Amino acid sequence: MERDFSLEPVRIQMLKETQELRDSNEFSIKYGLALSENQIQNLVIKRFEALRDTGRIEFGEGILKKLIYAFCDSPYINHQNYEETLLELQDAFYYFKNETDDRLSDDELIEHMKDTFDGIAQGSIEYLTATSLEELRRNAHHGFIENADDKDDGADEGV
Amino acid sequence: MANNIVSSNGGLSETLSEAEEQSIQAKLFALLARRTELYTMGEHSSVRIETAQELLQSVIFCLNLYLKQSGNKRKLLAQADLEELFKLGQGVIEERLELGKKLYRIACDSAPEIENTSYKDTLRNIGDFFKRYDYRFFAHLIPCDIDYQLCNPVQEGLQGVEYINQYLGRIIIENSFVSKFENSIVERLLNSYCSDYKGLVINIYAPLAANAVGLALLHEEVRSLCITEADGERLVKLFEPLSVTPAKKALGDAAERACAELKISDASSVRYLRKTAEELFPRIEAALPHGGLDGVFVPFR
Repeated sequence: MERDFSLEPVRIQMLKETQELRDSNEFSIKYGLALSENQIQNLVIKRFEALRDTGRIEFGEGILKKLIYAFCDSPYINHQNYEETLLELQDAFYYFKNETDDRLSDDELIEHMKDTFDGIAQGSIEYLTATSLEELRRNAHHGFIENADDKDDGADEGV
Repeated sequence: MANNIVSSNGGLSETLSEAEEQSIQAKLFALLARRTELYTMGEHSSVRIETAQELLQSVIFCLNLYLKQSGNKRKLLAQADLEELFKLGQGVIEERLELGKKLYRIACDSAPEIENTSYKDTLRNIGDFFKRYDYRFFAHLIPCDIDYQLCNPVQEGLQGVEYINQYLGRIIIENSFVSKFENSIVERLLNSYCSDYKGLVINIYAPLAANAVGLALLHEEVRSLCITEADGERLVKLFEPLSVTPAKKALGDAAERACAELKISDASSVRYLRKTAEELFPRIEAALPHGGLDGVFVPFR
């Protein structure tokens, strides 16, 4: 039987990410959040699906670890919605990376997402993606991106 | 996704053992990851598939160039540190770029004083190539517009600086050939060939080469480029009885006679004209049953 060597790097990536998510539990547990082994496997699989759906490729560590570190102290995330929220944040992240033509770095986009999620969106992913990120996408298409900090300061005041 | 890219490693896979294949795949993936990280300056953990594919093509171009230059076999990819080979490949590109710049200067200095928009635009655009060429990340790309068609096109499959250098080498050969004739004669011939030769995308060398070869076939004066009606009829009579092989031989020999008369001794230039001459045959073969070769050897108007 012919062996598909091209799958080898993906398999290695998956194993690496699985371990990273296990390690992340040590950090997120401080906020009462931890992923079970099944949830970790599911998140890793969904990461590759999200990348495929958005036509992107990722090397090294995935974005999940960064999302966990950024969002685990959110007052709107609890043990019940932790996995689902991470999945939706992951999908939104890759989608808006494309939609903003990669003009925002990973850290800038995550910061913007977190500030909006905890601020004006009040924990609503739907609001985050349909309004704030949508606005970001439009701005990117018009050739400029508002300074995330300025925008969010205003948003916070509104809340 | 990742596997789609790495499996499409265009030409790097050969008849290697499974272990060697696996080693190359893994190392190529690691090198691509490193190149992507440098490209995004560590700010993006992911990139669009299209971007990754271009980065990979660039890496493959660079590695292939090194293998070609050093005479090494592809097996080396399985044994050596690809990052190291990539650096050596980048060094080869830098050398080719320096050569390309020299060729560009020669091409500009030897450009014929014949008005032709696509020729002039293309030469100018190639100047931009040397400013825009990002060989660190997109070495296989040719970031400039090349409209002017050579008489003998650049070898298929060439990319990046390799394409540009071969294009320039051929332009220099064509320039040198055109310079053997008086401008007024060249302009008259081009005008007979195509009344809007200044504006349309036509090759300057091709009609000159055809007429030079035609005249050499008739043992007439090549420098005049003038094929009369009577000459046209003589050419028809000459080719009518000839089959493929003797016809091509006659064309090739005529090309060499034309070179001798024009004092062209450079082997590449002689080869270039010989190839041009031999490639006239299918057109001659197609035109003969219709009673004339005016479409091949251009009569002066």
